[in-house]
Amino acid sequence: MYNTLMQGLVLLVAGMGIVYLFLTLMVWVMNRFATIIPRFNHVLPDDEPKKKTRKPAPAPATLPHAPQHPAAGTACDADGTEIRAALPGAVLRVSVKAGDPVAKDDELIVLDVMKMETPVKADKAGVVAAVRVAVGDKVNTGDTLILIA
Amino acid sequence: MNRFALFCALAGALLLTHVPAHAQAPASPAAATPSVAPHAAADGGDWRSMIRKVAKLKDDTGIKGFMAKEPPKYMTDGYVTPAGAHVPGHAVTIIGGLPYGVGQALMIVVCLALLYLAIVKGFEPLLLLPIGFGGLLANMPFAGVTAPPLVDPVTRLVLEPGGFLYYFFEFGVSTGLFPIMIFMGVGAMTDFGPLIANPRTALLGAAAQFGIFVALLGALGLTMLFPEYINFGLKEASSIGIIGGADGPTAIWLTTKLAPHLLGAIAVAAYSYMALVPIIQPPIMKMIVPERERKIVMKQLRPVSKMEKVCFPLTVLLLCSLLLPSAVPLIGALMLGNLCREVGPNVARLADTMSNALINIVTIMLGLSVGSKLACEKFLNPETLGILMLGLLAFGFGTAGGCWMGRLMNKVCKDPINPLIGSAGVSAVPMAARVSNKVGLESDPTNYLLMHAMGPNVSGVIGSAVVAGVLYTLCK
Repeated sequence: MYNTLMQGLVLLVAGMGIVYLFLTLMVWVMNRFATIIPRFNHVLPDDEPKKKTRKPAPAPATLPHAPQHPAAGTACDADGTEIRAALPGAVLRVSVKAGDPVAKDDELIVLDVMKMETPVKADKAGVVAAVRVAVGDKVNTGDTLILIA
Repeated sequence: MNRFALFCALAGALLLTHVPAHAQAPASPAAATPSVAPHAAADGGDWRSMIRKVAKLKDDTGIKGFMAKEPPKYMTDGYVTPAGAHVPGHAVTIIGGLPYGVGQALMIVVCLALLYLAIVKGFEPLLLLPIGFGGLLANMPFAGVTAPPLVDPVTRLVLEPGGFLYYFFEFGVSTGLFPIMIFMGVGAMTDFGPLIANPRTALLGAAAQFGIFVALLGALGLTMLFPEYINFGLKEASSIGIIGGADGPTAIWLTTKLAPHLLGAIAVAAYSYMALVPIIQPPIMKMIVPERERKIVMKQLRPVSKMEKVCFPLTVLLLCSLLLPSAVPLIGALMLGNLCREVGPNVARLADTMSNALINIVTIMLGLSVGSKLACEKFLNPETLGILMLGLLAFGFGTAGGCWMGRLMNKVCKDPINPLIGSAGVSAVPMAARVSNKVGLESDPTNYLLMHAMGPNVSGVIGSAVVAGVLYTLCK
């Protein structure tokens, strides 16, 4: 019995070793390829997305200080604070309309991200200046969802 | 009930008074005299024999079946397959020396509990419902849905076809076909983009396989501690450990190959714990990752081109075939599905079929066949209790392993890594990634980790398939 337990220990060491080895090698190969493959992107160009956002944000897509982190980024412009999508997904519900007063951490929009309801919350109190998306819209990371003045 | 008793009494009375013993028809065609056509002999050509048959119905009801002491003969005596192989029988004993019928009734209660979890609690309903129902069907006495065909041992002619669950099982699970087909669908549904954008996270997927080996050692340890109740060899221990891979098809694939008698218990444990991931993981994650590190914000993932996504499955398959051919069946199917998904419009129909129609059809048949292995003598014993405990251990240590590796990588690597995404390394796509995201949001409501957690999550699938290949090669 002691013998079997030792065999189990050998399995642990060997098994974990092989998994690490395999995945480390995969990481190494992928890192190599990440510099090579994009050169051949023209061979297989990206598909055009079938359905674009119905109401693309009129505000310029690249702001001088685009959010550095993937959280619901905000940026100030003339209309107020932009609430941006932190994750790609579809708009499931819009909880507010233009003119509504909102408090900090109020739920503004619920996104369907990978079949998971993800609420987008207000990061400050204010009044909703504009809602830039409608239910069913597909949004990408960084798209403006709502303006809060 | 009253009517049934009346019916029995009537039939019994007829049997006793009206049918003389010498009028009894031959019991089987083989005993018929050659001059009489078999059909006529079987029919008996006599109204009394029909009455006798009707009267005999009462011995074939489920009520009688649940009181039966002995299991079906094919279990104890073994049987011959149409291919001519002899499957040996085994002694069927149930804890407490209960009659077999009572064991079946208890299993029906267990299966109803599984159905309750699936329907009311919503635990992996797509799988636990067919598994629970398959178990119900398998434990209906005399229904014979899991019975092998009755084969003449000499001529190998099929005298009586087997039950449909027997054929589902033999076709898809014994051969390992169903898990492979499910893997195609999983591949066609999985986006490896986050992994390609940040390949380092694959190491977290490796670390989370730690739970597999902890449970493996645990199974051997249990055998050492309680040798009179539990007897797990290396093969059984490996199959139990793979529960920690949190990947149903992989667990079923390996268990069928190494320890088929544990299939029912292992599949139930694997799918139940997968459903419980949102409850099991968060306390462990919070224990290991301090609040400060839970708030770490990760660098946004770069966009990945189509060319990279198409090359990825081919690269992984080539690597796998070079290093670990035993994992090629699972990884190959996964990568075939993924390639179809990434190539786009030209083969969209294939990807669509794999990720919808095919995976659904196979899920029905796989669930039913796995459920058909929920036989009482294999499930109602201390080993099942051990398997359920070890499964929990495997999930716990898998989560911990991922989080520990996450903390280590955060210290070593230049770009910050939130250790919470490590827990997603225990496959269970995409549930574990959602849990990482949720726990992260609790610490910082604006820090969405979902996409980052998908990297370890999908590499966890590759990782557990690799482990399954290794264990199969080393333990077979």
